[in-house]
Amino acid sequence: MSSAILTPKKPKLTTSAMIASIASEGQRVKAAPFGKALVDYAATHPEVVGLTADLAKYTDLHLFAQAYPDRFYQMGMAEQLLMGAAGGMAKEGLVPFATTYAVFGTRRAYDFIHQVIAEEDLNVKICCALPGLTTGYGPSHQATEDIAMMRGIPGLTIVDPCDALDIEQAVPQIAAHKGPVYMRLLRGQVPLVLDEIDGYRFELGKAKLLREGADVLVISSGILTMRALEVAQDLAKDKVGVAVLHCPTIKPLDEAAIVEAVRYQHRLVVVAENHSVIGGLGDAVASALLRHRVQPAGFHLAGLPDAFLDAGALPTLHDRYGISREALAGRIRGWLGSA
Amino acid sequence: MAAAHHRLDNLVCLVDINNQQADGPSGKVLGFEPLADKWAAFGWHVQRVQGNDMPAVVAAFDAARSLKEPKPRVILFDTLMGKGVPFLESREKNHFIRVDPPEWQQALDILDQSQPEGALA
Repeated sequence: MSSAILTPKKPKLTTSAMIASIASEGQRVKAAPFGKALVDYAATHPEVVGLTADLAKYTDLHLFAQAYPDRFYQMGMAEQLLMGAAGGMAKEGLVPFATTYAVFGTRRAYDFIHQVIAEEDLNVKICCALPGLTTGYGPSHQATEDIAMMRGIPGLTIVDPCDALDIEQAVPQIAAHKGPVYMRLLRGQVPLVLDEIDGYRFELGKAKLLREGADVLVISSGILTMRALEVAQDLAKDKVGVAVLHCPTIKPLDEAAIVEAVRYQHRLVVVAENHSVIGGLGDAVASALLRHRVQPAGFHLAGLPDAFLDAGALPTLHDRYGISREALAGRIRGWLGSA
Repeated sequence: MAAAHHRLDNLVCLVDINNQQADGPSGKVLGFEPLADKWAAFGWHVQRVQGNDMPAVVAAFDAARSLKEPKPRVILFDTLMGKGVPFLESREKNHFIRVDPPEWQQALDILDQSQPEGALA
């Protein structure tokens, strides 16, 4: 046996870079945008504190813990305690950022967020990694219904960022926002795509039209905006015009931007999201359009199926459930053909 | 509480105390001792044994099964991940221990050659 195996070299504090990245091969990435943005913001905002439930290294909060050890609280694998403690700290005037995985932050801690944090409109920022289908670990770790659950909580702002740029710009904005926030977090090596969109910047509460196109309007959030931009390029080669309206704030939803984008052009509307087709952005958009009496040329949900998803390699699963570049393009082509 | 209240004497709970979790050693993430006292306070019959010592493990199961008290039983196992394979025992590990394909064979060879302490004959 080689000595390399006997004495493995490892950095003192391994980052989430060791975890499989959702970036495709060769894609531009930025490391730990959440952790870095929070460290920067906290430098001039002493009221910011960080809490986690045994997942500092896996939510990039370890950077905050290293920079401000006195403002970091390890709560252990106890998500209800995490939310309760964060609520208490917010009541004392602090701005707690509480991190864990999205399945644990929502399914395990729901009542504590509802009762301790949201009902009192406390300034807690809940930032949860592994949203939707961003891990191959199976339903125990795949938060495919987190947005459906969280949309039901009154007064809770919900953010589903697309990439590293969205995340680093969202951090100071959700921190400055008065009230509770649930943000889906991409951690580790995070894709960077929105810097290619001229003049784009994340604005809490706003949807942004990233590109125009005459045939299809994709309304999307999270990593599905990245996919939608890729698919738009692919379909452009077939002379199919795809517009992309990015809605990183799910609640409150920018209904005005959505209604305007749908109303003035007769296009097929596809809502693409890294979430179950039940209770997410798709349902929110459908409801908004009906209430505003807007009827698109066609309406389809490109989300994850209402099912417990398989475990496996992420690219395989994204193909299987229709959110890989190829699978999403195929779905949209099919809907265009049947329109 | 429910198990003791309902006198579940056919329930045997096993706790693997490997002291590993995502952010580091469990005792440092959030101290959990004294574990035996906590279970006892909830009305359980408690045994604590070395989980890598197979005769002790088997004896603990026998004792749990033959107990006459109408109580749920818990066996707390103190364990060492990678026991018997020095290069795994000493690895700076977290709760996702990673073993590369050639290392599996190396580990099996070591286990075949040495009779690790606590292994059944």
